[in-house]
Amino acid sequence: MALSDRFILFLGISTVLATGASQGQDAPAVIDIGSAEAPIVSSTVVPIPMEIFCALDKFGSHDWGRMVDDRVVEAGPDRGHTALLFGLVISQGFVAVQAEDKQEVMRLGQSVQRLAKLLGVGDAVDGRLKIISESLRDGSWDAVKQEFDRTRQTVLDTMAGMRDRELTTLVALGGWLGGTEVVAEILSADYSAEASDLLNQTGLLGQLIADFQQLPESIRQAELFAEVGTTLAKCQTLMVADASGHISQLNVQEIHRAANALTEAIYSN
Amino acid sequence: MIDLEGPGAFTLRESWWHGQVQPGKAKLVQQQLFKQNSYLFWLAVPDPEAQVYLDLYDESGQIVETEKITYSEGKYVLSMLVQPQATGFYYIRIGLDKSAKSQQDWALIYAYK
Repeated sequence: MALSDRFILFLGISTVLATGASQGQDAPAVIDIGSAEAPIVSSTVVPIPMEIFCALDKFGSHDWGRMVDDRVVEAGPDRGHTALLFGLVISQGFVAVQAEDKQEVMRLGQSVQRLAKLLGVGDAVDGRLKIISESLRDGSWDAVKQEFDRTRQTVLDTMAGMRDRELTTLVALGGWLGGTEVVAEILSADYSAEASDLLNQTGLLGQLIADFQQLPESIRQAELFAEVGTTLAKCQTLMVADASGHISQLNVQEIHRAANALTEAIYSN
Repeated sequence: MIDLEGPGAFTLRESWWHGQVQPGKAKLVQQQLFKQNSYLFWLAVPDPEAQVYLDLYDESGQIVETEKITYSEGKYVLSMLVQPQATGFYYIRIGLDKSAKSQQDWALIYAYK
């Protein structure tokens, strides 16, 4: 049984004893980040686009149907490129789910299956995609949303098991890029200072850049991947909030331009 | 508050963190959180006699107020409800009480809405 399933089982049978605002008995009010007292766990969990879409919708409704992307998905020259594209396609799947566009979810599901096969993890996702298809038939969008995340995680776990660590980094990067492109496009068209805060991701960018820099040099030096590195660095400088916690409209537009250019390069490579 | 199904439910993420922690020690997990969202984290270790701690810090290392949820089954599982006032990178501090008999495997999962 997967760990998350065991947690769900626990939650199903558990009894809440107490809730309340508090801090742990031994929790200091201030900690020194990076000190030996509490080492930082190295693994990166990148938020899925659905998390930021969920926050964005609380600032007002958005026309998600307009954001559905009908770009043709064609696998590129190598597995690294395919991994980036896989992450992008999964993020587009989340957009299609947000827009409740059944036809597009089906199309992207087929692309996910094709790319997963090319990455050598096709068998691992077949069952997931079947559930997506069944959930679509039932109109159960929550289940579709959950299965897209499970599909993504299944691919990452299977790759990690195959010691394809560099590919897991690229899948995560592709997913982050797809979500960022969409959010920056929405905010560019309908800027809100308060919502611009959602692009305040310099810490996450630092982690993504560190993961990217651990890729073999042979991958990082290829033209497309050099562009990935440049885009990440550019976004990190643009995602800095001002004193009021906002990111300027100009910076939001620049983030969109940078993310869009890289996305186009990945799709057309 | 901890519904994972139905309208207004939290959506459980499939990604998670895990590792080992010694009695009386702590570790930090980094995570990007978005303003307007609510997050629920669950930390657990296998020993039902052990006690775990779960706290949140911002990028400057200042503790952030959270709501804790405890369970009648024991203190080896603990939940933390977070409603970030600003989007940013946060540090989740997981700790094992010094009374624990041995090093513990730990797992941390989360959900959002």
